[in-house]
Amino acid sequence: MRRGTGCVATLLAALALSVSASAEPLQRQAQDDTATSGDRGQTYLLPPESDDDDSRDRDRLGWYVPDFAKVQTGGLRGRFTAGLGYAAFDDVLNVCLLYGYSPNEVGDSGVNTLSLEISARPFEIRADSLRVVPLEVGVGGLYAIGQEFEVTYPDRYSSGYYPPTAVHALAYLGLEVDWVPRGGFFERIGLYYQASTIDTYLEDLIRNSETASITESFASTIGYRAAF
Amino acid sequence: MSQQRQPIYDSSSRNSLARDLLKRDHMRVSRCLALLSAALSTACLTATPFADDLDVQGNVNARAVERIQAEPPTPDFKFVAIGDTHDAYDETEVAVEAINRRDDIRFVLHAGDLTDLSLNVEFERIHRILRELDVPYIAVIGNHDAIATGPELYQNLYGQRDFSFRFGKLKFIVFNSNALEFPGEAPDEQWLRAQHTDLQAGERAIWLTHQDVTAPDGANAAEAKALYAELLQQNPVPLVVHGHLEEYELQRYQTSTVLQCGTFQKVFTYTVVSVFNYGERLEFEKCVEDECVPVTPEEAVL
Repeated sequence: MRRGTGCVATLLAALALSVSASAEPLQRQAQDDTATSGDRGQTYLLPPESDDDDSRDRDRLGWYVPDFAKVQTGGLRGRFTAGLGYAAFDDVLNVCLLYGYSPNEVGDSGVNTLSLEISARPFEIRADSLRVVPLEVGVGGLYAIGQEFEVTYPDRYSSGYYPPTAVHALAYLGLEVDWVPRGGFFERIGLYYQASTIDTYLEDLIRNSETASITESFASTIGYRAAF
Repeated sequence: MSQQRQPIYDSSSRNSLARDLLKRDHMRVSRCLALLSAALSTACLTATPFADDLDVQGNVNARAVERIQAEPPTPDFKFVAIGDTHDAYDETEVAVEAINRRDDIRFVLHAGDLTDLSLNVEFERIHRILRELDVPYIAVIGNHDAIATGPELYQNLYGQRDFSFRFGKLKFIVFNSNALEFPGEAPDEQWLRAQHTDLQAGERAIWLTHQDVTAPDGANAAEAKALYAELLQQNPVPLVVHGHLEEYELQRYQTSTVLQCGTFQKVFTYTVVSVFNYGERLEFEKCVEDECVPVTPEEAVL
């Protein structure tokens, strides 16, 4: 009998919230700067003319409005997945909440999942209206909704008998290619690829150097992201 | 081209044209996304780790029984018992290779806990290793195989949780004893009793289950223990093979020998059981890779 390791989803959620909170003053400052450089109080449907503005996240719609939306498939977060997120530190740090649905995966019905992710995107390569984020490193938590999956167990089990089956820690590496329009609602739109894994897959990979393979331990994600 | 574009951006209709351009590019991106999705197989775009479908052929136990019974039984034969392999895939592969180097094993019995968290990937991985055995293998459900969607996955891969098969005058009774995971269902007393009523004259039985029959878990532990003790006392059951507990143990209990395989992650041990005259006499070898030493059952202190 083996006692499994616990999940760090709660810690990650707290970290994500603290990062989001710490990013707020910076975003407000950016908003104030934009307002003073143009017409104060005016709501922009399109960004002001600013060819020399190299900022990656202009946050024109207010700090409380999500900075990007994602739709994706695969990567252990669902067959059909959509999410909203906030960007901080000029899009270097992202926090995203995703809902995923995978039909026919459990019995005759599907499985619903929620994932909360925080990622760092420290580099970018820019060529005219093309922007490449060559590396995105993300961690997060994955939660399965459904009575088959447990966070806590009935009283008949002693404490810590099993780790939660509904929750897994999540990690991924990604690459994104964006098109940066010169105007319009969206700051960037693009495609991304991610290689994702969960705690159990990673533990198995580390523990089993002979039999586990990287391709088995990671799942691909293909997604579409629009930043605004 | 550039002469045409300059006036566009300088004109007052810049915003609406930008929207048109954006729309056009959106369509291009959507087309690209559709092509990419189609090009990539669903296997690498794994949707969820929580699925209860499998990428390997099912009915493992039924197919194993068919293979075992395809050849005529012999009163004297050897089989291997192993258990609780969990995520020790490397070590299990080493054991599989060692068992394959022998030519005297008829089949392998796995005492459950094939997985840690009942994930479909875990079931697939351990089965891909165990199916490399040159001989058939049979696995009983362990408690770690019975959480989340584990019961469905076990059924999809291995089949029924309670079943039996005959090998000459020896009947192997394989049953689910995970009372915590199947409250009120396991062990199935009626089924278990019927399996022993069904024993023919001169037949013996060997049990393969996951929980320790000498100290079962669950709300009905006392009843289960009494049931096991009664059945072992009243029927010729020379051997009980189980897993669940960490340590390797071989002990006498009632009129039987109880082999506790030990958590494979810890003991890396498989046991070669030599059966003489369909269970009239048994001998045991405790093996790690190719090294085997004879072991004898100890009297249980219960």
